[in-house]
This record gives sequence, structure tokens and C-alpha cells, in this order.
Amino acid sequence: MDDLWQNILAHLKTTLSSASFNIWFTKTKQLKVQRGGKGVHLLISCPSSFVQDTIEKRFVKRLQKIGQELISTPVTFSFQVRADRPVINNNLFRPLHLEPSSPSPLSSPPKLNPNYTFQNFVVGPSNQVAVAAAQSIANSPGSIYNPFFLFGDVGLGKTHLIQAIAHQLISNNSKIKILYTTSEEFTNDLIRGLRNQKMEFYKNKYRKTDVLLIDDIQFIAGKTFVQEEFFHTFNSLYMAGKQVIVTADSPPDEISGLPQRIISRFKGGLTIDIQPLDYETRRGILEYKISELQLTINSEVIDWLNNYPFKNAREIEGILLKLKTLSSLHRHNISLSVLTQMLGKNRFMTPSFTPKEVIKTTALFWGVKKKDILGKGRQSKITTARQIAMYLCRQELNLPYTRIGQIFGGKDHSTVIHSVEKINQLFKTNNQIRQAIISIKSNLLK
Amino acid sequence: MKFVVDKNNFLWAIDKINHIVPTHPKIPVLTNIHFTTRKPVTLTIEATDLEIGSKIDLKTKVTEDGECLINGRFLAEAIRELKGESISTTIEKNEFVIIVPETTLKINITTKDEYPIITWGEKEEWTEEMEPTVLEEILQMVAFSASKDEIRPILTGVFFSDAGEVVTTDGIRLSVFKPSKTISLTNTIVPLGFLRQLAATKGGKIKVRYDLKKKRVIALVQPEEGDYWLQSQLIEGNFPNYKEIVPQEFNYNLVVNKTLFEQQLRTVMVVAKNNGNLLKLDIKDKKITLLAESSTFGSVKGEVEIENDQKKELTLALNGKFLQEAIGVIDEEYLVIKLNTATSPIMIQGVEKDNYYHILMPINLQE
Repeated sequence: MDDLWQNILAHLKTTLSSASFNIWFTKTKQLKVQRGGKGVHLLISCPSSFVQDTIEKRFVKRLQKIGQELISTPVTFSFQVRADRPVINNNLFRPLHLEPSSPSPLSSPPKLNPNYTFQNFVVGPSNQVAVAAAQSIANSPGSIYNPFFLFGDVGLGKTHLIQAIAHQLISNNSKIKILYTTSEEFTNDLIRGLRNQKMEFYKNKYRKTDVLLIDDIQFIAGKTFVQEEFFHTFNSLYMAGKQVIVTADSPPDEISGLPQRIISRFKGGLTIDIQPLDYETRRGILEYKISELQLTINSEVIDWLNNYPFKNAREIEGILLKLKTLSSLHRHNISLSVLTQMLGKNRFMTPSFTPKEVIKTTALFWGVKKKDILGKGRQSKITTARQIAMYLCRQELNLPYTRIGQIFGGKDHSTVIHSVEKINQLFKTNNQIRQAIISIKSNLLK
Repeated sequence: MKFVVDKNNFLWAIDKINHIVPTHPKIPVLTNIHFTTRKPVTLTIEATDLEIGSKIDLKTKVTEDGECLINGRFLAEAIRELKGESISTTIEKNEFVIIVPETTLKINITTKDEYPIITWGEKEEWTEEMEPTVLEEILQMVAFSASKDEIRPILTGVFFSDAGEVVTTDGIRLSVFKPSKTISLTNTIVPLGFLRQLAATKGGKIKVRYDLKKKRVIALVQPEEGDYWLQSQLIEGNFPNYKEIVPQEFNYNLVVNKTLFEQQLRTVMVVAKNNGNLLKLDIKDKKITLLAESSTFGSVKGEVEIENDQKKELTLALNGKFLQEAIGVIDEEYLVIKLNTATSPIMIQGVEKDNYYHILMPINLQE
């Protein structure tokens, strides 16, 4: 009886969308159970009167039915508002401490991966142009290619390459001020600055560096305040002849929600992509990683791996790490049959397509444009295509809702949840939608 | 649902309700406004962000009962562009149809299945009627020192104490004000946003009801255009015991001319705002010297006479912006600044009225 409410909710959850369930029920709690001649009565706390009123008027009959089915006796409910609020401790009204007015990037070295150097970067036809540009910048920052915009799919070495630039710059000049960050950290810094009324501190952090490297710049798209702050930071550095380096998963024009003035700033420098792995680069990475992990693999297995269509370096590393583990467990070299069995089950493989491919394939199938799917258009065809693409990103790629929201032009995760739930339902009930999804999946796997 | 309504009144109501419609809703359906019509003359427009709810009852010609949900911001933008003084509306096949001379606008409507149900308890009595000037006075005196940080929600509200005081704090500063008219609400924390929305609606007396069972407050203002209802959840929890941090005695009681002090402060803040609002106060020789420095722009020094006899010396540091905000609300010719040490709470109040004081924590210059 102590978890009757939780049991009722577990059943109710299967009949509601996740968004509805989360809003109305996750913050409710069972306060009391009373047993009487006429059945069981539960007293439930709600976080607000809005929740209480909605549950009482919309869901109570359903709850009573579920309750009765569970314990074979009538269940009634009453609700009361009781919010869980954090307790304020008494650490208020302490003297503030003086913050340094301008942070010194030299005193806190940039967070760079020590393995991400030019020496450890495998160069091949798919990335040699990008590497050459990176090396030029490392030799002469702020003058030749500024800004440097590097884009490409996940796992192809963008972070490695820009951090290699940073390592080289420090090696050439130990006094140079380098700031490496991600757009998520840039955003969080600004929010902290606003909250704590320390905007000057955080502005100084980003504008008093010699080289600014920002990874995954696409995540600021659609965030007006962050974009604004980035724009001013960029201008401040650029006008002072400081090097700006950014990475993204798409070229500047294709980052949905990014304002034109930022796009044009990016295009004013050098924009280069790292292309998907070709055979030579893939082979080079394999050989390097096998050597790095000190794996002993027979030539048959290496030949097989060479010809396997790995999408990026991460996939290669993932498989080799699994092989290393298996090898140490079995205490002998891995045979081809074990390897193909492991890859064939697909348990260890990342999906063979990307969110971009999902969007492209879905757009093609529905006869709409990619930018429509990423945009805000509400025509029925576009909405359906968008919702299906979100559904596939969730079902097939198991991406988090917030990540999917970001990919689709900065949409709120609750919108993604709603779309996925809707298509999930339609897949079961609507033949046209089901056939469409099957066809799109088939096209993706080709 | 069918009604005819004056365009300006309709737009006023939608704009007002749109203040509550969230830009980042917890569920997508909250971007909509809920419309209900009841014959012969009632059009109700309602919205919520699940913290605050708002409703407007307009008196207008209704020929058919009904209800629907329409995207609030889109509707406001559309109505604004329409010609004519009067709007006729109806619902046809899941579309809200608006007809004015030479224009027909059809807007998609949304199912109300997921929209919250908002109750207003119309038949209950009002706890009190408040003059809008009292609310305006409260907000003017204390709103600025409420916390903006949602991590500690209790500090984002306005506390009505059982001693008839209205209090706000963000943990670094504290404002305590005793309004001229007693308010019946006691030991309760009301969201600041709710009070601000209420104060922004001009329409005579404000009727207020405190629903302690549902832990909410409901208010009604009746401007010419229509009845404007607002409700908010009260903030649950124990407000910090603010009286404990107010020193009982002060070693320094410095009386200064408010206008002169504010003027010097404004000048010094031109530099201080470039250095985290850091302001130093040097008390010596019957003067307060305000100092600020910025490595980028330079430094500034301003002096203000202390009006009363004062021989002790002290140097301390403050957030100059906080000091400006505290002094700005005091409407008297002279202020008294009370201190003990460089790191203990400072009190600021007017010389004549004792219905208000502000406590501010200094900045500790020693690391």
C-alpha cells in the first residue's frame, strides 16, 4: 500500500505522452493511505494548484479505474498542494570576496588533451588540406587564416586538429594566451556571469586571449544572447589581430539559426572541411591505433578491418578497444570468425548513419527541403517530415532529446518528446506513416 | 464559438495575457491562449505558464458558446495588422476565422486535451481590497533586492512578515519596509513577478484572495476594458530569519546629504562599473571618500561631507551598484549610513522615516 500511488502512476504512464506525464505527475507524492469499509483513500501532494486542478478534473476517473484494477477495491483520492522547496541554509549575509578583475589565462592553462598533437594526427587525402591550413596557423597565428572555420562529421578529428594547433602555438611561444572551450562552456560562462552580476569578469576572460578556440559552434545557433556575446567577442579579438578558430558539424551557411552577420564573419576567413575517411586515411588510422594499443592482430584480421567501412576514427578505436579486451580475456589472438561475429551482431557498432543523413533522406522521401525540416514551417508535410526525422534520430541513433532539439534548429526537448511520441503512436496505427518510416530506414541502410 | 468584439479591447486583452504565455514552455501547448465564450456577453481569455495564471473576462456580443486554443503571439501579431474597429469571429473546421472588412483570417486551432485546467474560485469572498498605490510603494521600496536566482526560489519572492513588514533579500542585501496600510497577508512569500504584473494593470482597487488550502493568491483588477484576473502559487518554505542579521548597535552613524552623495556616487560608478562595481569608502576627517579604479580606464575619487560629528576612521569596500539602488529608493533629504567594521552588515535608511531600512554586506578586501 505504501507504493500504491507509484504503481498507479506506472500504469498511467503507459497511456500518456512523456511530456504530459512529466508535467502532471512526476512531482506528486503519496502522503497518506487510509483504509476503510468503502475502499482505500489516498492523499496525494501536488506541487501547485495548476497541477492539482488538472489532475482532479482530467485524470481522477482514470486513476480510480487503475487503482481498482490493481487492488480489486475502490480507490479514491484527495489532493493537496505541497511544494518541495530547498531549505535555505544560514550561509547568507557573509562578506563578499574580491574577485580578480581580469582573469589571467596563463595562470590556468587551457584544458587540452596532451595526445592531440600534430605528431599523433594521421594525415590522409580526406584531411590533408585541413592539416596544412592548421600548420600554417600554428606557425603564424592571426595573420593568414583568420578566422579558421573547420567543419566535418563527428569523430573525424576536428578537436584533435585544433588542439594540435594550440599545442604547437604553446610550444613556439610559452607566453601565448590560449583559450580552448566548447560552445556549451561559453554559454554556461555567460549565464553564470549574468546570474552573479559578473559579466565584466567573463567578458574579459574571452576577450583578453591571444587565441580563442571554440568547439561545436553550431550549438550557439538560435540562442540570441549567446550569439550576440559571441559576435562581440569575435569582433573584439579580430580587430586586435587575435586568432579565432572554431569547429562545427556543418559549413557556416548550413547552421540553422545562425545569424547572417556571424556567418559572414566566418566566411571572411578560411572554411575547410575534414572529409569522411577514405581508404588510405582509414588504413593509416588503423595502423596507428593498433600500434598505440599494442595489439597483436594477424594479417587476415587486419586486411578485413582495412576493408570495413568505418565512418570515423572513434568507431575504429571503439572496435580495437573491444578487440583488446577480448584478446586479454581469451589470452590469444582474435580470429576472423570472432571479429565478424562481433561486428555482425552490431552490438558494438555505432549506427552506420548520422543525424544529417537521417534529415537528408527523410527530406528526399517527403519531397521537402532539408532547411524546411530544420526550420519552423508548420505546413503539414514539413511537420510530418520533421517529426519522423526526430523519431528516427531517437529510435535508431538513441540520441538524447536535448541533442536532437539542438540538431533540429534549437528546438526545445519537450517538442522533440512530443514529436517522437506522436510518431511512435502513428507507427502503430497509421499504415502510410509506417511504410514511410520503413522506406526511409531502408534508404539509410543502403 | 462565435462572437463580435471591439478590436482594440481584444488586442489589449491578448497583449495582456501574452505576458504570461511562456517563451520557453514546459509543454508546447502552453504557447496557446485558451478562449471560452458564454452567451450572451462573456468572452474569457486565459493563459498560464504553470506558475502564474491569467484570465480576462471581456463583455462582448456572443452568439455561440464554445472554446478553443490559439497560439497567443501569432494571434496578437495578426490582430494588430487588421483594419477596422470591430472583429467578427467563428470556428470552422478546426480553424478560428476572423472577419473584418476586406480581410478574412483563418488560424489553426489546437486541441485543448493537454491544456491545464485553471480554477478561479469565483464564488469565494475576497480577503481584502488593496489600493494600487500601496502595491506600487511596496515594489518601489523592496523589489530591487529580491534574488533573481531560481536556485533559491524562496529568495525570489516578497515576504510579508507577521510584524506587518515586507521584506526581500538575495542573500547579500536585504530591504525591509513597513507599508502605510496594513496588509492582511502574514508569514507568506509571494512571487515578485505576480506583484509586478498586478501593479502594471491600472484599474482601481485590487481585490485579493489568499487561498491557503491551495497555497495560492488570486487577484482581480477591473480596468475599463475588462476584468483582469491573476493567480500565482505562493512560495513555500521558511524565509530566512532576517532580524538575526540586523546589528543591534552601530559604531558609526554617518549622516550625509542624499543628493550630494548620489551625485558623487554616479560619477564614481562611471569607473567602478568597469571593475565589477567595486567601490571603496574611506571614512576620515569628517568625510566619506568614494574611490574606484579600472585598469582599462583609470581611477576616480569623490568626497562627501559627513553632516554630523564623526571622528572615527574606517575603510571598506562595497558593490557600488547595490549602494546606488539602496539609496535611490529613499525619498528624504538626508541619509544615515550605519556601520560597525569593514566586514559587518551596513544599514542605510532615511533620517526621518523609520519605516524602511536596507542592509548591505560589504566586500572583504583581504583574501
